[in-house]
Amino acid sequence: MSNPVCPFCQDVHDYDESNMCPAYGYEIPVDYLEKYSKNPPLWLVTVGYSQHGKTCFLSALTMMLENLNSVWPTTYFPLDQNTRDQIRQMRIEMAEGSQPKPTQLKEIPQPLLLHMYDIPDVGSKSLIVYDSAGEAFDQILDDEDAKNLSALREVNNIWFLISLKDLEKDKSRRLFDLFNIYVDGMKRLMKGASLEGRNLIVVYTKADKLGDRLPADIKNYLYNDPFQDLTNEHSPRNTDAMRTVTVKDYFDKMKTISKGLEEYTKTDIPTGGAFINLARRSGMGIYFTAMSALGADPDPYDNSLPTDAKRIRVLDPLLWALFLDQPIERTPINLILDGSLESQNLYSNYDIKSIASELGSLGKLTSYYMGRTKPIALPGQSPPLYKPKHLRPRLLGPILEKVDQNVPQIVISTGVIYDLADFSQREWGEQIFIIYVGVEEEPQSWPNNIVIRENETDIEVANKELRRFIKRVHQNI
Amino acid sequence: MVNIITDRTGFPLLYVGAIDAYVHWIPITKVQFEYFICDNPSTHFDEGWYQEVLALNPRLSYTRLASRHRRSRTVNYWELFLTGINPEEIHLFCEWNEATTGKEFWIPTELDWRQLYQFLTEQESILDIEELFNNAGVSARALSVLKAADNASKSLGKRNMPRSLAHQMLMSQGVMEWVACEEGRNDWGGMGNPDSNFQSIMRSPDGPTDNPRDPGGRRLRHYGFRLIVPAG
Repeated sequence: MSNPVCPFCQDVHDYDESNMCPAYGYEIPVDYLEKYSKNPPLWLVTVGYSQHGKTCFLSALTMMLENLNSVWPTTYFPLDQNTRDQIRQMRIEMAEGSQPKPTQLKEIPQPLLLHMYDIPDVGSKSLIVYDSAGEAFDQILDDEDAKNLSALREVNNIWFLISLKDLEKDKSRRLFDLFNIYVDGMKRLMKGASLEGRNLIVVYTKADKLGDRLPADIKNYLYNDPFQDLTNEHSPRNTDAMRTVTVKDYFDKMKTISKGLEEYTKTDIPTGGAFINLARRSGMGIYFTAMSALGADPDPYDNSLPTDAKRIRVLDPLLWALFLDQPIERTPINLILDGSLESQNLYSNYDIKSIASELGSLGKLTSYYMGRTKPIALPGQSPPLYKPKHLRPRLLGPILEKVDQNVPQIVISTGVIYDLADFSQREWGEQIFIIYVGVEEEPQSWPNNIVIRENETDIEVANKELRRFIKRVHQNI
Repeated sequence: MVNIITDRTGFPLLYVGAIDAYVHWIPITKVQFEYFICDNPSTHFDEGWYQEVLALNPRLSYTRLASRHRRSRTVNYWELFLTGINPEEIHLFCEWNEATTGKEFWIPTELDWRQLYQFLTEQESILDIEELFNNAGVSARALSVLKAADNASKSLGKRNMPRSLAHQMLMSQGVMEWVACEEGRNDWGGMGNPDSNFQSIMRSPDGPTDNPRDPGGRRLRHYGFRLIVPAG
């Protein structure tokens, strides 16, 4: 059974101790933890410029999910107070006909957390939905900016929301630019990790504004959404007709429309072809939908919405994410720490947390002490940053014999490793990186190693070397 | 036909009909004991313990052993073996082996050891241990250690003189090996003889049992061990 990944910081913690996220201080819902294996997480994040309809879409989708039980045996359950508060706000806005406010840029974005039960042909899931602020994408200058997008790290399927109408009005921007910003943000966030295997679900929002510009078959598809009245409280909903729609048939039609929209993007959208090519060259899957969260423009006098908004193909992005969902197997890395008497210096005087964080961003970390075969932290969990109660001799062999030999082994040592010479064969030389700390020069010869003498500068250099080393090892697998 | 089993660390034991038991091919090596130390995070076999043992008999990597010759004689090969250990500590290693193999591991008695030595002295050495051990499921790392030890024992004999199996298994010019005494002053004694460059003792391997004064007390740098597994 896999260990629950925290929905907030995306690390694995020791939940026996506490269900607070130690990084962000949010309480992880008990239901999320207890039902983790039955309701595996589906990570979702909206990516797009300001005012392109991300929040509106999420609001409409949430209202659709609330009503889905009328037609499918699907129920949903908000998992925490933040989600309940947001849903309440959405209901108020829907009742009043007001538009959702734009998402504010927050250093620590807090997702919607929902359990979805019995989705036809899919099963049950925990939805973890991040609505990123448009400003986060307007310009990413440095690593600090990328932190606002930390939700992207675990997300396999990204909702790429674009209002083609708004893009057209903005002469300075192109579809290609948003993808570049996303890739740049991911590079800063993931530091060398590949985008391969992730999926871009391109969602053309405000499709009602595109009118005759869309090909006829796509227009027909949009206007004939069987679920468009699902959230109406005042008009007839015709749920009997909705119940005749099977998920499989609906999804088959979605795939056909995706191909049509891809063709439309290549031929009719500036830089559309380049955007598609670049995504595919990065190893990403790319799929297309179009939708309208509100079905019409707001009233020009008071900017309010018609109270019975039509939700045009609002379910499509979610269905794409559900069907494409495959867990990302983060590439494993082993961190083997010194647990000898001399290691006190290591934990007291050097920023090992920085190295562990760096490694955690590059892959799924499992930590050991030298001289002990059992791991000291769960895969994905942060390692302890103190010497062990029972000091261990610096021995690697029994650990190396047990682990996968294709996984990079990062060793941090304060002195001679007794059995290092036993692994002097070339293959091991390419898998083991040794960081010597608290010594003037390397006590033993090894092809991949670095000596940390000065704390800050040398650790920065060590982190860069680690990124290169791990990339090299992963490329050789 | 040669009958081989392996211990928990993947090192081989050879069946010897003379005592109806399997016996470790060579004295227990540091590599083997390290598996036990790493699997057993007790307060006893900690870093301090291992430093004390290595101070008496340092560790030499088997990868370096082959290259260390002086006048065609492998030097310091005894640094492969775990010595400076006392019988109570050996028992814990036996229990650890038994936990997953389901077999009983014993320290041989002085009679066992003598019978083994006399029998194996009359057997010819095995020419290709790699083939023998590959077919028996011996681990790759164990095989590397065994080949290094085998080269060392080859270098000790007289040129053009065939080695006996006892010699190949380093029952002479290996280490002093703990045995359980059947009668006498102590419960524990020693058989075998170490290389004179390691510890100079004038004795033949199967001579009268050596009787250390205090087996559980001061660590004896030239004392190691091998184990037997009764076949029944």
